[in-house]
Amino acid sequence: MTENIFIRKYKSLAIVLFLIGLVIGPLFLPYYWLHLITLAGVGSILALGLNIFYGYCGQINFGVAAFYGIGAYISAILGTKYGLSFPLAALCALVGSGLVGLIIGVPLLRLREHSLALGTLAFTLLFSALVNQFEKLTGGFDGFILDPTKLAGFELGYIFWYYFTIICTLLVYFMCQYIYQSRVGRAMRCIRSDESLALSLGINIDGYKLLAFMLNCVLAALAGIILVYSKRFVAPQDYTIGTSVLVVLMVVIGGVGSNLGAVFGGVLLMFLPEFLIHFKTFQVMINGLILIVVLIFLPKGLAGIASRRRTF
Amino acid sequence: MVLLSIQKIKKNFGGLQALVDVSFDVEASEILGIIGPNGAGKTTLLNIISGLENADGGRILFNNEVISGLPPYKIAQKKILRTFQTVKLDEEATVLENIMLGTHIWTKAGVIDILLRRRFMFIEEQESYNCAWEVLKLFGMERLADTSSQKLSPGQRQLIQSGRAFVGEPKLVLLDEPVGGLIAEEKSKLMEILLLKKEQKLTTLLIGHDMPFVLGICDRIVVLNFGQKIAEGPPSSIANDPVVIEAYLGG
Repeated sequence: MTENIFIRKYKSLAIVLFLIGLVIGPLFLPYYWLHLITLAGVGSILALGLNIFYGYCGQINFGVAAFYGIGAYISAILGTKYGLSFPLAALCALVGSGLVGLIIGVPLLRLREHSLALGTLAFTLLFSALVNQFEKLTGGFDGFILDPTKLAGFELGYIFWYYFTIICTLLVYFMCQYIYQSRVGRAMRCIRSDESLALSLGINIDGYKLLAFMLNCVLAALAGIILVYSKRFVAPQDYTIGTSVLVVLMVVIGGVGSNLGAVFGGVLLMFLPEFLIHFKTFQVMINGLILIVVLIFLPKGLAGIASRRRTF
Repeated sequence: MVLLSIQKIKKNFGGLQALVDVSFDVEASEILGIIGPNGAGKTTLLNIISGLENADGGRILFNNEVISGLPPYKIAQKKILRTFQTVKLDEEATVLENIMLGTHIWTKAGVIDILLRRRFMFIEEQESYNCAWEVLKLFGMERLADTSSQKLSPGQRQLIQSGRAFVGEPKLVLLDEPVGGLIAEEKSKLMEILLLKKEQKLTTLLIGHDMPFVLGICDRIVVLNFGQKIAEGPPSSIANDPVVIEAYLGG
Protein backbone atom coordinates (compact mmCIF):
# COMPACT_ATOMS: atom_id res chain seq x y z
CA MET A 1 0.00 0.00 0.00
CA THR A 2 2.77 2.44 0.94
CA GLU A 3 4.55 1.54 -2.27
CA ASN A 4 1.54 2.57 -4.32
CA ILE A 5 1.34 6.00 -2.74
CA PHE A 6 5.08 6.39 -3.29
CA ILE A 7 4.75 5.56 -6.96
CA ARG A 8 1.63 7.68 -7.37
CA LYS A 9 3.28 10.75 -5.86
CA TYR A 10 6.27 10.37 -8.12
CA LYS A 11 4.04 9.68 -11.10
CA SER A 12 2.26 13.02 -10.68
CA LEU A 13 5.58 14.76 -10.11
CA ALA A 14 7.02 13.14 -13.20
CA ILE A 15 4.05 14.25 -15.28
CA VAL A 16 4.30 17.81 -13.99
CA LEU A 17 8.06 17.96 -14.64
CA PHE A 18 7.54 16.55 -18.10
CA LEU A 19 4.91 19.15 -18.91
CA ILE A 20 7.09 21.94 -17.57
CA GLY A 21 9.92 20.58 -19.69
CA LEU A 22 7.71 20.68 -22.75
CA VAL A 23 6.65 24.24 -22.06
CA ILE A 24 10.16 25.62 -21.62
CA GLY A 25 11.58 23.36 -24.32
CA PRO A 26 12.14 26.07 -26.93
CA LEU A 27 14.51 27.86 -24.56
CA PHE A 28 17.18 25.20 -24.78
CA LEU A 29 16.24 22.72 -27.47
CA PRO A 30 17.44 23.19 -31.04
CA TYR A 31 15.07 23.24 -34.03
CA TYR A 32 15.68 19.55 -34.75
CA TRP A 33 14.28 18.47 -31.39
CA LEU A 34 11.35 20.86 -31.46
CA HIS A 35 10.46 19.60 -34.90
CA LEU A 36 10.74 16.02 -33.68
CA ILE A 37 8.39 16.73 -30.77
CA THR A 38 5.97 18.35 -33.20
CA LEU A 39 6.11 15.20 -35.33
CA ALA A 40 5.50 13.11 -32.21
CA GLY A 41 2.37 15.14 -31.57
CA VAL A 42 1.21 14.58 -35.13
CA GLY A 43 1.77 10.85 -34.69
CA SER A 44 -0.16 10.85 -31.43
CA ILE A 45 -3.14 12.56 -33.03
CA LEU A 46 -3.11 10.04 -35.87
CA ALA A 47 -2.98 7.17 -33.42
CA LEU A 48 -5.66 8.63 -31.15
CA GLY A 49 -7.96 9.03 -34.14
CA LEU A 50 -7.44 5.47 -35.34
CA ASN A 51 -7.88 4.23 -31.81
CA ILE A 52 -11.50 5.40 -31.85
CA PHE A 53 -12.30 3.32 -34.93
CA TYR A 54 -9.97 0.38 -34.35
CA GLY A 55 -9.56 0.40 -30.59
CA TYR A 56 -13.10 1.20 -29.48
CA CYS A 57 -15.18 -0.17 -32.37
CA GLY A 58 -12.85 -2.91 -33.46
CA GLN A 59 -12.92 -2.06 -37.16
CA ILE A 60 -9.91 -2.12 -39.44
CA ASN A 61 -8.92 1.02 -41.31
CA PHE A 62 -6.02 1.21 -43.75
CA GLY A 63 -7.32 4.45 -45.18
CA VAL A 64 -5.87 6.63 -42.43
CA ALA A 65 -3.11 7.88 -44.73
CA ALA A 66 -5.65 9.13 -47.26
CA PHE A 67 -7.43 11.31 -44.71
CA TYR A 68 -4.08 12.44 -43.30
CA GLY A 69 -3.35 13.52 -46.87
CA ILE A 70 -6.77 15.04 -47.48
CA GLY A 71 -6.31 17.29 -44.46
CA ALA A 72 -2.80 18.17 -45.55
CA TYR A 73 -3.53 18.91 -49.19
CA ILE A 74 -6.83 20.76 -48.76
CA SER A 75 -5.42 23.07 -46.11
CA ALA A 76 -2.16 23.58 -48.03
CA ILE A 77 -3.86 24.25 -51.35
CA LEU A 78 -6.45 26.59 -49.89
CA GLY A 79 -3.80 28.41 -47.91
CA THR A 80 -1.07 28.77 -50.48
CA LYS A 81 -2.83 28.58 -53.84
CA TYR A 82 -6.00 30.39 -52.88
CA GLY A 83 -4.70 32.65 -50.15
CA LEU A 84 -7.11 31.60 -47.40
CA SER A 85 -6.09 32.31 -43.82
CA PHE A 86 -4.85 29.36 -41.80
CA PRO A 87 -7.95 29.00 -39.58
CA LEU A 88 -10.24 29.04 -42.59
CA ALA A 89 -8.12 26.67 -44.64
CA ALA A 90 -7.85 24.32 -41.68
CA LEU A 91 -11.58 24.41 -41.04
CA CYS A 92 -12.35 23.61 -44.68
CA ALA A 93 -9.88 20.74 -44.59
CA LEU A 94 -11.46 19.30 -41.44
CA VAL A 95 -14.99 19.62 -42.75
CA GLY A 96 -13.93 18.29 -46.15
CA SER A 97 -12.32 15.28 -44.57
CA GLY A 98 -15.43 14.62 -42.50
CA LEU A 99 -17.63 14.81 -45.57
CA VAL A 100 -15.43 12.45 -47.57
CA GLY A 101 -15.45 10.13 -44.58
CA LEU A 102 -19.23 10.22 -44.53
CA ILE A 103 -19.55 9.62 -48.27
CA ILE A 104 -17.20 6.66 -48.50
CA GLY A 105 -18.03 5.42 -45.01
CA VAL A 106 -21.64 4.59 -45.77
CA PRO A 107 -20.83 2.01 -48.48
CA LEU A 108 -17.49 0.89 -47.02
CA LEU A 109 -18.78 0.12 -43.55
CA ARG A 110 -21.12 -2.50 -44.91
CA LEU A 111 -18.00 -4.57 -45.48
CA ARG A 112 -16.51 -6.82 -42.86
CA GLU A 113 -12.96 -7.40 -41.72
CA HIS A 114 -10.86 -8.44 -44.73
CA SER A 115 -13.09 -6.68 -47.24
CA LEU A 116 -13.10 -3.56 -45.12
CA ALA A 117 -9.32 -3.70 -44.86
CA LEU A 118 -9.04 -3.97 -48.62
CA GLY A 119 -11.63 -1.30 -49.24
CA THR A 120 -9.89 1.22 -47.03
CA LEU A 121 -6.54 0.26 -48.54
CA ALA A 122 -7.99 0.87 -51.97
CA PHE A 123 -9.06 4.31 -50.90
CA THR A 124 -5.50 5.18 -49.92
CA LEU A 125 -4.38 4.12 -53.41
CA LEU A 126 -7.17 6.17 -54.93
CA PHE A 127 -6.04 9.20 -53.00
CA SER A 128 -2.45 8.81 -54.23
CA ALA A 129 -3.71 8.47 -57.77
CA LEU A 130 -5.79 11.64 -57.44
CA VAL A 131 -2.81 13.57 -56.11
CA ASN A 132 -0.83 12.57 -59.20
CA GLN A 133 -3.76 13.25 -61.50
CA PHE A 134 -4.27 16.84 -60.45
CA GLU A 135 -0.61 17.76 -60.65
CA LYS A 136 -1.24 21.42 -61.32
CA LEU A 137 -2.99 21.76 -58.00
CA THR A 138 -1.05 19.33 -55.88
CA GLY A 139 2.43 19.65 -57.31
CA GLY A 140 2.32 15.94 -58.11
CA PHE A 141 5.25 13.80 -57.03
CA ASP A 142 7.35 16.77 -55.94
CA GLY A 143 4.69 18.41 -53.85
CA PHE A 144 5.02 22.11 -53.10
CA ILE A 145 6.21 24.54 -50.49
CA LEU A 146 3.63 26.36 -48.42
CA ASP A 147 3.63 30.11 -47.99
CA PRO A 148 4.56 31.22 -44.48
CA THR A 149 1.54 31.58 -42.22
CA LYS A 150 0.91 35.13 -41.12
CA LEU A 151 -1.20 36.30 -38.22
CA ALA A 152 -1.67 40.05 -37.72
CA GLY A 153 1.45 40.68 -39.76
CA PHE A 154 3.63 38.27 -37.74
CA GLU A 155 4.99 35.11 -39.31
CA LEU A 156 4.13 31.97 -37.34
CA GLY A 157 7.34 29.99 -37.06
CA TYR A 158 8.27 26.56 -35.85
CA ILE A 159 8.03 27.57 -32.19
CA PHE A 160 4.41 28.52 -32.67
CA TRP A 161 3.70 25.17 -34.34
CA TYR A 162 5.53 23.38 -31.53
CA TYR A 163 3.15 24.83 -28.91
CA PHE A 164 0.17 24.54 -31.22
CA THR A 165 0.83 20.81 -31.67
CA ILE A 166 1.23 20.20 -27.95
CA ILE A 167 -2.05 21.95 -27.20
CA CYS A 168 -3.84 20.08 -29.99
CA THR A 169 -2.46 16.76 -28.83
CA LEU A 170 -3.64 17.40 -25.28
CA LEU A 171 -7.08 18.50 -26.47
CA VAL A 172 -7.46 15.46 -28.71
CA TYR A 173 -6.31 13.17 -25.91
CA PHE A 174 -8.91 14.54 -23.50
CA MET A 175 -11.56 14.44 -26.20
CA CYS A 176 -10.85 10.76 -26.81
CA GLN A 177 -10.88 10.06 -23.09
CA TYR A 178 -14.25 11.76 -22.64
CA ILE A 179 -15.67 9.64 -25.42
CA TYR A 180 -14.12 6.45 -24.05
CA GLN A 181 -15.62 6.95 -20.60
CA SER A 182 -19.05 7.86 -21.90
CA ARG A 183 -22.13 6.02 -23.02
CA VAL A 184 -20.92 6.36 -26.63
CA GLY A 185 -17.57 4.82 -25.74
CA ARG A 186 -19.21 1.92 -23.92
CA ALA A 187 -21.48 1.32 -26.89
CA MET A 188 -18.57 1.33 -29.34
CA ARG A 189 -16.58 -1.06 -27.17
CA CYS A 190 -19.59 -3.34 -27.01
CA ILE A 191 -19.71 -3.35 -30.81
CA ARG A 192 -16.12 -4.50 -30.81
CA SER A 193 -16.87 -7.24 -28.33
CA ASP A 194 -20.04 -8.70 -29.81
CA GLU A 195 -22.22 -7.12 -32.47
CA SER A 196 -25.40 -9.07 -31.81
CA LEU A 197 -25.11 -8.19 -28.13
CA ALA A 198 -24.80 -4.52 -29.06
CA LEU A 199 -27.88 -4.75 -31.29
CA SER A 200 -29.90 -6.41 -28.54
CA LEU A 201 -29.02 -3.52 -26.23
CA GLY A 202 -30.48 -0.95 -28.60
CA ILE A 203 -27.15 0.15 -30.05
CA ASN A 204 -27.35 1.30 -33.65
CA ILE A 205 -24.21 -0.39 -34.92
CA ASP A 206 -24.12 1.20 -38.36
CA GLY A 207 -24.58 4.65 -36.87
CA TYR A 208 -21.84 4.28 -34.30
CA LYS A 209 -19.37 2.73 -36.74
CA LEU A 210 -19.92 5.62 -39.12
CA LEU A 211 -19.46 8.10 -36.30
CA ALA A 212 -16.21 6.42 -35.23
CA PHE A 213 -15.02 6.40 -38.82
CA MET A 214 -15.74 10.09 -39.28
CA LEU A 215 -13.97 10.97 -36.04
CA ASN A 216 -11.00 8.95 -37.26
CA CYS A 217 -11.04 10.83 -40.56
CA VAL A 218 -11.28 14.29 -39.03
CA LEU A 219 -8.50 13.63 -36.53
CA ALA A 220 -6.26 12.22 -39.26
CA ALA A 221 -6.94 15.38 -41.25
CA LEU A 222 -6.01 17.52 -38.26
CA ALA A 223 -2.70 15.67 -38.05
CA GLY A 224 -2.13 16.33 -41.74
CA ILE A 225 -2.86 20.04 -41.38
CA ILE A 226 -0.39 20.39 -38.52
CA LEU A 227 2.24 18.40 -40.38
CA VAL A 228 2.27 20.47 -43.54
CA TYR A 229 1.91 23.84 -41.88
CA SER A 230 4.68 23.16 -39.39
CA LYS A 231 7.15 21.94 -41.98
CA ARG A 232 5.75 24.20 -44.71
CA PHE A 233 5.88 21.43 -47.24
CA VAL A 234 3.44 18.93 -48.66
CA ALA A 235 4.36 15.88 -50.71
CA PRO A 236 2.63 12.58 -51.50
CA GLN A 237 5.35 10.38 -49.97
CA ASP A 238 3.93 11.04 -46.51
CA TYR A 239 0.53 9.55 -47.35
CA THR A 240 1.13 6.03 -48.58
CA ILE A 241 -0.13 2.60 -47.59
CA GLY A 242 3.04 2.31 -45.50
CA THR A 243 1.87 5.32 -43.53
CA SER A 244 -1.48 3.67 -42.84
CA VAL A 245 0.29 0.54 -41.63
CA LEU A 246 2.55 2.67 -39.43
CA VAL A 247 -0.44 4.24 -37.72
CA VAL A 248 -2.01 0.82 -37.15
CA LEU A 249 1.32 -0.22 -35.64
CA MET A 250 1.24 2.79 -33.32
CA VAL A 251 -2.13 1.72 -31.96
CA VAL A 252 -1.16 -1.95 -31.64
CA ILE A 253 2.14 -1.19 -29.90
CA GLY A 254 0.50 1.27 -27.60
CA GLY A 255 -2.25 -1.18 -26.76
CA VAL A 256 -5.42 -1.35 -28.82
CA GLY A 257 -8.13 0.64 -27.10
CA SER A 258 -5.88 2.61 -24.80
CA ASN A 259 -5.60 6.34 -25.50
CA LEU A 260 -2.43 6.81 -23.50
CA GLY A 261 -1.02 3.83 -25.33
CA ALA A 262 -1.91 5.47 -28.64
CA VAL A 263 0.09 8.53 -27.59
CA PHE A 264 3.06 6.34 -26.61
CA GLY A 265 2.83 4.45 -29.88
CA GLY A 266 2.57 7.67 -31.86
CA VAL A 267 5.55 9.23 -30.14
CA LEU A 268 7.65 6.08 -30.38
CA LEU A 269 7.03 5.43 -34.03
CA MET A 270 7.69 9.01 -35.00
CA PHE A 271 10.94 9.16 -33.00
CA LEU A 272 12.22 5.75 -33.97
CA PRO A 273 12.83 6.42 -37.67
CA GLU A 274 14.94 9.41 -36.76
CA PHE A 275 17.20 7.31 -34.55
CA LEU A 276 17.31 4.47 -37.00
CA ILE A 277 18.14 6.80 -39.88
CA HIS A 278 21.21 4.75 -40.62
CA PHE A 279 19.07 1.70 -41.14
CA LYS A 280 16.68 3.45 -43.50
CA THR A 281 16.64 0.57 -45.95
CA PHE A 282 15.63 -1.83 -43.20
CA GLN A 283 12.92 0.40 -41.82
CA VAL A 284 10.00 -1.66 -43.02
CA MET A 285 11.65 -4.85 -41.78
CA ILE A 286 12.34 -3.29 -38.40
CA ASN A 287 8.72 -2.18 -38.16
CA GLY A 288 7.67 -5.73 -38.88
CA LEU A 289 10.03 -7.12 -36.24
CA ILE A 290 8.71 -4.68 -33.65
CA LEU A 291 5.17 -5.76 -34.45
CA ILE A 292 6.03 -9.43 -34.02
CA VAL A 293 7.86 -8.82 -30.73
CA VAL A 294 4.97 -6.80 -29.37
CA LEU A 295 2.36 -9.33 -30.40
CA ILE A 296 4.24 -12.16 -28.74
CA PHE A 297 5.51 -10.52 -25.55
CA LEU A 298 3.17 -7.59 -25.04
CA PRO A 299 -0.21 -8.58 -26.41
CA LYS A 300 -1.81 -5.64 -24.69
CA GLY A 301 0.89 -3.31 -25.95
CA LEU A 302 2.73 -0.79 -23.81
CA ALA A 303 -0.51 0.02 -22.01
CA GLY A 304 -0.51 -3.55 -20.70
CA ILE A 305 2.64 -2.84 -18.71
CA ALA A 306 1.29 0.32 -17.17
CA SER A 307 -1.98 -1.00 -15.85
CA ARG A 308 -3.99 -4.17 -15.69
CA ARG A 309 -7.30 -2.45 -16.12
CA ARG A 310 -7.83 -0.29 -19.15
CA THR A 311 -9.34 3.01 -18.14
CA PHE A 312 -7.15 5.28 -20.23
CA MET B 1 -54.13 -6.40 -21.31
CA VAL B 2 -52.14 -8.14 -24.01
CA LEU B 3 -48.63 -6.72 -24.24
CA LEU B 4 -47.07 -9.05 -26.79
CA SER B 5 -48.97 -10.96 -29.43
CA ILE B 6 -47.28 -13.76 -31.37
CA GLN B 7 -49.36 -14.48 -34.46
CA LYS B 8 -48.84 -17.54 -36.64
CA ILE B 9 -45.06 -17.33 -36.67
CA LYS B 10 -43.34 -19.60 -39.22
CA LYS B 11 -39.64 -20.16 -39.63
CA ASN B 12 -37.75 -22.44 -42.01
CA PHE B 13 -34.08 -23.24 -42.11
CA GLY B 14 -33.53 -24.71 -45.55
CA GLY B 15 -35.85 -27.68 -45.56
CA LEU B 16 -36.28 -27.77 -41.80
CA GLN B 17 -39.42 -26.23 -40.33
CA ALA B 18 -38.21 -24.69 -37.08
CA LEU B 19 -41.47 -22.97 -36.20
CA VAL B 20 -44.92 -23.81 -37.51
CA ASP B 21 -47.83 -21.41 -36.94
CA VAL B 22 -46.88 -20.56 -33.38
CA SER B 23 -49.42 -18.23 -31.80
CA PHE B 24 -49.95 -17.04 -28.24
CA ASP B 25 -50.36 -13.83 -26.27
CA VAL B 26 -48.40 -12.48 -23.35
CA GLU B 27 -50.38 -10.49 -20.78
CA ALA B 28 -48.89 -7.41 -19.17
CA SER B 29 -47.09 -8.07 -15.86
CA GLU B 30 -47.20 -11.81 -16.25
CA ILE B 31 -44.31 -14.25 -16.20
CA LEU B 32 -44.73 -16.57 -19.15
CA GLY B 33 -42.55 -19.62 -19.56
CA ILE B 34 -41.70 -21.33 -22.84
CA ILE B 35 -40.63 -24.92 -22.48
CA GLY B 36 -40.07 -27.86 -24.75
CA PRO B 37 -37.50 -30.49 -25.62
CA ASN B 38 -34.21 -29.48 -27.23
CA GLY B 39 -34.67 -28.29 -30.78
CA ALA B 40 -38.30 -27.34 -30.21
CA GLY B 41 -37.66 -23.86 -31.57
CA LYS B 42 -37.68 -21.90 -28.31
CA THR B 43 -34.51 -19.87 -28.87
CA THR B 44 -35.44 -19.35 -32.52
CA LEU B 45 -38.72 -17.86 -31.37
CA LEU B 46 -36.90 -15.57 -28.96
CA ASN B 47 -34.52 -14.51 -31.72
CA ILE B 48 -37.48 -13.65 -33.92
CA ILE B 49 -39.22 -11.63 -31.19
CA SER B 50 -36.01 -9.70 -30.46
CA GLY B 51 -35.36 -9.13 -34.14
CA LEU B 52 -32.10 -11.03 -34.52
CA GLU B 53 -33.85 -13.31 -36.98
CA ASN B 54 -36.73 -12.73 -39.35
CA ALA B 55 -39.80 -14.92 -39.46
CA ASP B 56 -40.85 -16.45 -42.76
CA GLY B 57 -44.49 -15.85 -41.97
CA GLY B 58 -46.78 -14.38 -39.35
CA ARG B 59 -46.27 -11.25 -37.30
CA ILE B 60 -45.58 -9.99 -33.83
CA LEU B 61 -47.34 -7.12 -32.12
CA PHE B 62 -46.07 -5.22 -29.12
CA ASN B 63 -48.50 -2.80 -27.54
CA ASN B 64 -50.59 -3.24 -30.68
CA GLU B 65 -47.70 -2.13 -32.85
CA VAL B 66 -46.13 -4.46 -35.42
CA ILE B 67 -42.53 -5.10 -34.46
CA SER B 68 -41.76 -8.11 -36.63
CA GLY B 69 -39.34 -7.04 -39.35
CA LEU B 70 -37.80 -4.23 -37.33
CA PRO B 71 -34.02 -4.29 -36.82
CA PRO B 72 -33.02 -5.62 -33.39
CA TYR B 73 -31.75 -2.32 -32.06
CA LYS B 74 -35.07 -0.65 -32.80
CA ILE B 75 -36.92 -3.40 -30.97
CA ALA B 76 -34.62 -2.98 -27.98
CA GLN B 77 -35.32 0.75 -28.05
CA LYS B 78 -38.99 -0.04 -27.59
CA LYS B 79 -37.95 -1.29 -24.15
CA ILE B 80 -37.76 -4.96 -25.00
CA LEU B 81 -34.51 -6.41 -23.65
CA ARG B 82 -33.20 -9.93 -23.76
CA THR B 83 -30.53 -12.26 -22.48
CA PHE B 84 -28.73 -15.07 -24.27
CA GLN B 85 -28.44 -18.78 -23.50
CA THR B 86 -24.69 -18.58 -24.04
CA VAL B 87 -24.05 -15.56 -21.87
CA LYS B 88 -22.98 -12.49 -23.85
CA LEU B 89 -20.97 -9.88 -21.99
CA ASP B 90 -18.43 -7.28 -23.07
CA GLU B 91 -15.40 -9.32 -22.12
CA GLU B 92 -13.08 -6.32 -22.06
CA ALA B 93 -15.22 -4.33 -19.67
CA THR B 94 -15.77 -4.55 -15.93
CA VAL B 95 -18.94 -5.87 -14.34
CA LEU B 96 -20.22 -2.38 -13.60
CA GLU B 97 -19.57 -1.19 -17.16
CA ASN B 98 -21.38 -4.25 -18.46
CA ILE B 99 -24.45 -3.50 -16.40
CA MET B 100 -24.31 0.15 -17.41
CA LEU B 101 -24.61 -1.01 -21.02
CA GLY B 102 -28.20 -1.84 -20.19
CA THR B 103 -28.94 1.83 -19.67
CA HIS B 104 -28.22 2.64 -23.28
CA ILE B 105 -31.90 2.49 -24.18
CA TRP B 106 -32.95 5.18 -21.77
CA THR B 107 -30.00 7.54 -22.10
CA LYS B 108 -29.66 10.03 -24.90
CA ALA B 109 -26.27 11.73 -24.77
CA GLY B 110 -24.55 11.83 -28.14
CA VAL B 111 -20.94 12.54 -29.00
CA ILE B 112 -21.51 16.29 -29.28
CA ASP B 113 -23.16 16.41 -25.85
CA ILE B 114 -20.23 14.49 -24.44
CA LEU B 115 -17.63 16.78 -25.96
CA LEU B 116 -19.49 19.91 -24.94
CA ARG B 117 -19.70 18.49 -21.39
CA ARG B 118 -23.38 19.28 -21.25
CA ARG B 119 -25.07 19.12 -17.88
CA PHE B 120 -27.77 16.59 -18.84
CA MET B 121 -25.04 14.23 -20.01
CA PHE B 122 -23.44 14.26 -16.54
CA ILE B 123 -26.81 13.73 -14.90
CA GLU B 124 -27.57 10.79 -17.20
CA GLU B 125 -24.18 9.27 -16.56
CA GLN B 126 -24.67 9.58 -12.80
CA GLU B 127 -28.13 8.01 -13.06
CA SER B 128 -26.76 5.14 -15.16
CA TYR B 129 -24.06 4.59 -12.59
CA ASN B 130 -26.50 4.69 -9.68
CA CYS B 131 -28.98 2.34 -11.33
CA ALA B 132 -26.21 -0.10 -12.16
CA TRP B 133 -25.14 -0.04 -8.50
CA GLU B 134 -28.72 -0.62 -7.37
CA VAL B 135 -28.92 -3.71 -9.56
CA LEU B 136 -25.58 -4.97 -8.25
CA LYS B 137 -26.86 -4.52 -4.70
CA LEU B 138 -30.09 -6.31 -5.60
CA PHE B 139 -28.07 -9.32 -6.70
CA GLY B 140 -25.69 -8.96 -3.79
CA MET B 141 -22.69 -8.62 -6.11
CA GLU B 142 -21.35 -5.19 -5.17
CA ARG B 143 -17.85 -6.47 -4.52
CA LEU B 144 -17.63 -7.59 -8.16
CA ALA B 145 -18.18 -4.08 -9.56
CA ASP B 146 -14.62 -3.56 -10.77
CA THR B 147 -13.92 -7.16 -11.66
CA SER B 148 -13.20 -8.01 -15.26
CA SER B 149 -16.04 -10.05 -16.70
CA GLN B 150 -13.53 -12.71 -17.69
CA LYS B 151 -12.99 -13.60 -14.03
CA LEU B 152 -16.60 -14.48 -13.18
CA SER B 153 -18.14 -17.87 -12.49
CA PRO B 154 -20.79 -19.08 -14.98
CA GLY B 155 -23.53 -18.33 -12.45
CA GLN B 156 -22.25 -14.81 -11.88
CA ARG B 157 -22.07 -14.19 -15.61
CA GLN B 158 -25.66 -15.31 -16.03
CA LEU B 159 -26.87 -13.07 -13.20
CA ILE B 160 -24.95 -10.07 -14.56
CA GLN B 161 -26.67 -10.62 -17.89
CA SER B 162 -30.06 -10.59 -16.23
CA GLY B 163 -29.04 -7.54 -14.20
CA ARG B 164 -28.12 -5.76 -17.39
CA ALA B 165 -31.57 -6.44 -18.79
CA PHE B 166 -33.32 -5.14 -15.64
CA VAL B 167 -31.27 -1.96 -15.43
CA GLY B 168 -32.63 -0.94 -18.82
CA GLU B 169 -36.04 -0.60 -17.15
CA PRO B 170 -37.71 -2.54 -19.94
CA LYS B 171 -41.42 -3.12 -20.41
CA LEU B 172 -40.76 -6.67 -21.58
CA VAL B 173 -37.80 -8.85 -20.81
CA LEU B 174 -36.92 -12.01 -22.74
CA LEU B 175 -34.77 -14.40 -20.72
CA ASP B 176 -33.16 -17.37 -22.45
CA GLU B 177 -32.36 -20.02 -19.83
CA PRO B 178 -31.77 -17.49 -17.04
CA VAL B 179 -30.89 -20.18 -14.50
CA GLY B 180 -28.41 -22.04 -16.69
CA GLY B 181 -25.30 -22.65 -14.59
CA LEU B 182 -26.77 -21.17 -11.43
CA ILE B 183 -26.34 -22.76 -8.02
CA ALA B 184 -29.38 -23.17 -5.77
CA GLU B 185 -28.71 -19.95 -3.86
CA GLU B 186 -28.43 -17.98 -7.09
CA LYS B 187 -31.62 -19.52 -8.47
CA SER B 188 -33.69 -18.49 -5.48
CA LYS B 189 -32.15 -15.03 -5.65
CA LEU B 190 -33.23 -14.70 -9.26
CA MET B 191 -36.73 -15.98 -8.48
CA GLU B 192 -37.02 -13.38 -5.74
CA ILE B 193 -35.97 -10.65 -8.14
CA LEU B 194 -38.29 -11.79 -10.92
CA LEU B 195 -41.24 -11.67 -8.52
CA LEU B 196 -40.17 -8.23 -7.34
CA LYS B 197 -39.96 -7.01 -10.92
CA LYS B 198 -43.36 -8.49 -11.64
CA GLU B 199 -44.76 -6.39 -8.83
CA GLN B 200 -43.09 -3.42 -10.50
CA LYS B 201 -45.12 -4.21 -13.60
CA LEU B 202 -42.39 -5.89 -15.64
CA THR B 203 -43.56 -8.52 -18.13
CA THR B 204 -41.26 -11.52 -18.42
CA LEU B 205 -40.99 -14.15 -21.12
CA LEU B 206 -38.57 -16.86 -20.22
CA ILE B 207 -37.26 -20.04 -21.75
CA GLY B 208 -36.44 -22.75 -19.27
CA HIS B 209 -35.24 -26.31 -18.95
CA ASP B 210 -35.20 -26.32 -15.17
CA MET B 211 -38.72 -27.64 -14.40
CA PRO B 212 -38.93 -26.79 -10.70
CA PHE B 213 -37.86 -23.24 -11.54
CA VAL B 214 -40.25 -22.82 -14.45
CA LEU B 215 -43.21 -24.42 -12.72
CA GLY B 216 -42.45 -22.43 -9.60
CA ILE B 217 -42.17 -18.95 -11.05
CA CYS B 218 -44.35 -18.78 -14.16
CA ASP B 219 -47.97 -17.65 -14.22
CA ARG B 220 -48.54 -19.50 -17.46
CA ILE B 221 -46.54 -21.81 -19.66
CA VAL B 222 -46.42 -22.41 -23.42
CA VAL B 223 -45.04 -25.74 -24.58
CA LEU B 224 -43.34 -26.17 -27.94
CA ASN B 225 -42.35 -29.38 -29.65
CA PHE B 226 -40.90 -29.65 -33.16
CA GLY B 227 -41.74 -26.01 -33.77
CA GLN B 228 -45.41 -26.31 -32.82
CA LYS B 229 -47.32 -25.18 -29.78
CA ILE B 230 -48.66 -28.28 -28.14
CA ALA B 231 -49.97 -26.88 -24.88
CA GLU B 232 -50.64 -23.64 -23.06
CA GLY B 233 -51.85 -22.97 -19.56
CA PRO B 234 -51.01 -22.55 -15.89
CA PRO B 235 -48.20 -24.69 -14.41
CA SER B 236 -50.63 -27.06 -12.71
CA SER B 237 -52.32 -28.12 -15.93
CA ILE B 238 -49.07 -28.27 -17.90
CA ALA B 239 -47.36 -30.48 -15.33
CA ASN B 240 -50.13 -33.05 -15.65
CA ASP B 241 -50.74 -32.74 -19.37
CA PRO B 242 -50.16 -36.13 -21.03
CA VAL B 243 -49.23 -34.49 -24.35
CA VAL B 244 -46.46 -32.53 -22.65
CA ILE B 245 -45.20 -35.52 -20.73
CA GLU B 246 -45.09 -37.57 -23.90
CA ALA B 247 -43.16 -34.88 -25.74
CA TYR B 248 -40.46 -34.89 -23.08
CA LEU B 249 -40.25 -38.65 -22.81
CA GLY B 250 -39.98 -38.89 -26.57
CA GLY B 251 -42.86 -41.36 -26.70
